[in-house]
Amino acid sequence: MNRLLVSVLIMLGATAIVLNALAFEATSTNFELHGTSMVGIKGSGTSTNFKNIGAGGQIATGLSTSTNRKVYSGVLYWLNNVFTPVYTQIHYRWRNDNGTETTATWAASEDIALSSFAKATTTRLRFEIANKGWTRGAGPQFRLEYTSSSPCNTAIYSAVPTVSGSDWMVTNTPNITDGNATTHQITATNPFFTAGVIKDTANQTGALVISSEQYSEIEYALWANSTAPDGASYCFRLSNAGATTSFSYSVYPQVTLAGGTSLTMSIDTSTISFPSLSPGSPVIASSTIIVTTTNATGFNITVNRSDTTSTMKLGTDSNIRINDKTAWSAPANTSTAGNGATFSSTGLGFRIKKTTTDTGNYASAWWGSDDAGNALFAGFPLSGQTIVNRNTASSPGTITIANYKLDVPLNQNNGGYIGNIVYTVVANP
Amino acid sequence: MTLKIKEAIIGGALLALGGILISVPLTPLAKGAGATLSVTVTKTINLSVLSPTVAFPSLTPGTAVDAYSTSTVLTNDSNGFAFSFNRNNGAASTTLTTSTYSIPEPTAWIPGANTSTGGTAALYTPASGLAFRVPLAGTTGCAQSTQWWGTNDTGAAKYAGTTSTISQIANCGTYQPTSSTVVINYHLDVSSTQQSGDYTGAVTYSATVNP
Repeated sequence: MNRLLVSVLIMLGATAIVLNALAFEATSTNFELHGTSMVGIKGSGTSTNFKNIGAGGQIATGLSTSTNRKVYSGVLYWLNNVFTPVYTQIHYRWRNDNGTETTATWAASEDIALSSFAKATTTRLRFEIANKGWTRGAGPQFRLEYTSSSPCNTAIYSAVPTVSGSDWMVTNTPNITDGNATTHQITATNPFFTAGVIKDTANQTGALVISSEQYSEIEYALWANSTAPDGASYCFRLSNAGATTSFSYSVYPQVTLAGGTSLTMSIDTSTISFPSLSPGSPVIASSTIIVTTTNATGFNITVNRSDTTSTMKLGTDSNIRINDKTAWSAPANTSTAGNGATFSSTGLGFRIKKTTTDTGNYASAWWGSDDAGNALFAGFPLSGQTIVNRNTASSPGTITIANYKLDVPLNQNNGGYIGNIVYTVVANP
Repeated sequence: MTLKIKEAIIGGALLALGGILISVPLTPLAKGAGATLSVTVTKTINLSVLSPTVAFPSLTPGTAVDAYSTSTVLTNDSNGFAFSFNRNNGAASTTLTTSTYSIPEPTAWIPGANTSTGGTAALYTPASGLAFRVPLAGTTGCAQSTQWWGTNDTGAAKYAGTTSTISQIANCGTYQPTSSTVVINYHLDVSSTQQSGDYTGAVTYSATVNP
């Protein structure tokens, strides 16, 4: 890398000042520049053949009156910011605390998150850091950090402490000795391995040099304290004593603690396209929503439209809209009739379809006794209104089919209309 | 004389769109998911002719008579519609005939390249037979064309003879939220040598969505 720097400098100027951190004076017209480290170019000369020029935002020191040859002193500063290390968190692997640095078994495959992880159980987390940039400086002090926020790449992280009181802590284990060197265990991503360290009494390593084309592995022993919330999820990362300059993250180790109530929702498609609509001939579409929850009291699904005026508008003119049916207003319980109505005339309406929808998710009083002549439709409300209320757990997941029906008057402007809706599922208290 | 008219309706059709997923992470016991609805409303057009039969009053040669035909067009096309006309009998050069005789017509209608460019209509010459025009009176504004049919319905009114080629006689180039009206004024006078009798003929009206 140093040779590369010197080659560039030679291209910039056929004559220059010898770089050895000292000032240099000369009247020669033939100079070469050699550098072993990046420092500013200084010097003075009375030659009429070379000139010291400020560049890269840096002021050149020294005197020169030449109009023929120039040395851009600040280029060294600019290059200083270009050729930097890039410590890339590129792999990780969770490990059982049942052996030494080499014999402990793996709790999961490489780059796979842990789930249902038991609190107050020592585990080990190994990181692979590869320097995908240049060699610079004394090396980072790798600090273990965590967050309970998501997504991992934008969350704010805190150092994993060495004492209790937080969700996680670095914990001492008899299976390893803090500060011992690590050996290569995870998939190599650079040509050369350099030993890292294993930690169980501190959350931060000493300065660890990982040169260009090298990678290292750093392992920590830690556990989730019993006060951590059941079912909580966490992301982990390494930093340079809290700083992330020159760091890049390809992966974030993740773990979800055991216990708590789970809730997931999936919708079969985010794009609900009606068939082409000829005014006067209604068209229909549908969505399949699957909710899975261990919550004993079940869940409720609400829906709302995103636009304040109406659900769907012409793509080329937002003032031209399709009317909604009367907005759905959910009653207090699923046994009380809602304000749905049989579909007639024109407009956009929706309902929960009885066929295929899980029995526990369907309310006849809201959506009709069948999917034919008694089917009841309503318009999308502006604020979330309950459309499904299930009072039992849903594991494995249960299905809800949302039906959409649409017709427009003969004078509805032709063209493409779009509109957004949002489904929200909440575990019942 | 009876002028029989047939009507025809021509419409159009179109396509569809796509969407986006919005994931809304909430508290651990709540989840959100967004979806985008999309639809393409196709072009439609309806043509109604209020009376399929246009009957002239009895005609005394030298005293012109007029008859009117009113049609309405409803379309959702953002670019409006074109209203066309043609004589059904392509073999003959006139519309009104008996089994033996026919009533002459002035120069057949050929529209201009657009409604701002004049066509072949001209001031009516007495006794020149059957002619037609689209009057200002009764015709929806966007379908009027003073270039084609004259700046008024009196002294500057222009007439043309029928044509067997389907030809535009009116064009409304903008979206109309309600039905548009197109009136056709038939004007008829014959020379004193025109054979007496009942003359009939059929024409066709067409309405199409503009591209």
